[in-house]
Amino acid sequence: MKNNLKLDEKNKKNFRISVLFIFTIFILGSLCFFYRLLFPSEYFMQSFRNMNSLKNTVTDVSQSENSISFFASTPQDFSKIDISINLEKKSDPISVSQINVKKSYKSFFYPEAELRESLGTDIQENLLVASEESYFIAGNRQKNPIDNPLTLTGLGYAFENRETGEIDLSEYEKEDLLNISSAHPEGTILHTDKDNYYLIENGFKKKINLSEYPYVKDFKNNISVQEGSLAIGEVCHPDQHPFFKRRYSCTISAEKLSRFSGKDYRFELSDIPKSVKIAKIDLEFKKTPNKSNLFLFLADTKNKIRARFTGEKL
Amino acid sequence: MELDKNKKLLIYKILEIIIFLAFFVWSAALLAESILPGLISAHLSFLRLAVFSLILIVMLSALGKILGLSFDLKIKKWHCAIAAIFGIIIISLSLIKFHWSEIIIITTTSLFIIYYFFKVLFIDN
Repeated sequence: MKNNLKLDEKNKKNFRISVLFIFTIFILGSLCFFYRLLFPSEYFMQSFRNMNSLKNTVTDVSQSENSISFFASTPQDFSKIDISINLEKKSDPISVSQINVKKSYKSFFYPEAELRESLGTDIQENLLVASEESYFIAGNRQKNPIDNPLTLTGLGYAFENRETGEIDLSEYEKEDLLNISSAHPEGTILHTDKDNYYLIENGFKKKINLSEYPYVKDFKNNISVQEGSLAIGEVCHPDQHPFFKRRYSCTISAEKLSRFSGKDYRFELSDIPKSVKIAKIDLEFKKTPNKSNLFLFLADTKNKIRARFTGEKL
Repeated sequence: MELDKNKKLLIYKILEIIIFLAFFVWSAALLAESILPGLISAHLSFLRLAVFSLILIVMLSALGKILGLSFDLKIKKWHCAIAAIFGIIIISLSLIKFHWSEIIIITTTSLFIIYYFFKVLFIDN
């Protein structure tokens, strides 16, 4: 039996209009998709109503008398960051508050402390060890597995610095899995652009006296940081939304911050009195659609495809 | 309000075009994803696309039944050739870390199994 799919004249015209409409929607949808693919955004949020929600992607939130600070971690560089603050119904409005953003590694933001040289013990190097399909940071009798290659490079390590010889990892005690939001493990050495060396220990960064420990310079896995990253930041002042009175937002340019190494953006909201009750904070990291971001995406994709087909690790 | 036959036919033909586009997106996304996993799935949910396509197919088939249309399978040789080439590319790309001899064995076996299911389900009946 042959199907009769012929339309009458009136419906033929409707069909042509519908096809045109569907293809227009399809093309517009495809353009939107490619835009998101080429210039991706990254979202972070923190609900203050439910601090332990799994949906919270912001980390290390700390609230003091007049300020709130938190981190958002991403290995990518972005052009700007949209910050939106939603207040509770019974909250005072925000008046003179400002938001300051700095970019470095969480461990470099640690408070500085004295290194007790009287300990008389050597500083051990943290090694990057490849074990079958996974990587570990091993040192000081501890080993931290790394969840994926982006975290490894995001933390400032390089695959070419991995240990080539056999290392028995069973002697090391297994510690937390490192993900993109993690700080460096204990024993990490930070090397600044002004040639200062810091040891990460117990939530402090401790300046190393090179005359005491000259061999620290030759460690392979020292993490490069810039001292300027602690001093230079971007600032914005949240403005009230014209319609939604409990919503405040502002945009920060992140171009200047991209020259600093590190994956952790530290946000600090200052002049927030206790009477201001924040319900939720949303962050959107955006890339400006321009030639350099496009070429960055293409180069990154090319490298990833090459790594997939040649089997070499990123 | 009962739609007249011409309106139903119009909806049927529109659905056909949407399904064609959905399948085109499916194949393109699958190919891109097999070249670089995560490239598409980071932005597009394959589950949603599958559910969307399935709903469209069910709607099309229900409407076809209402319209009394028959679904005779007329498979041409070039259909099979395109499906086979696409299948070989997708299966080979998913086995990229295997030895080339294993890729050949697994790909041919997979294609034979797919052909067998196709034959049992469609051709023999």
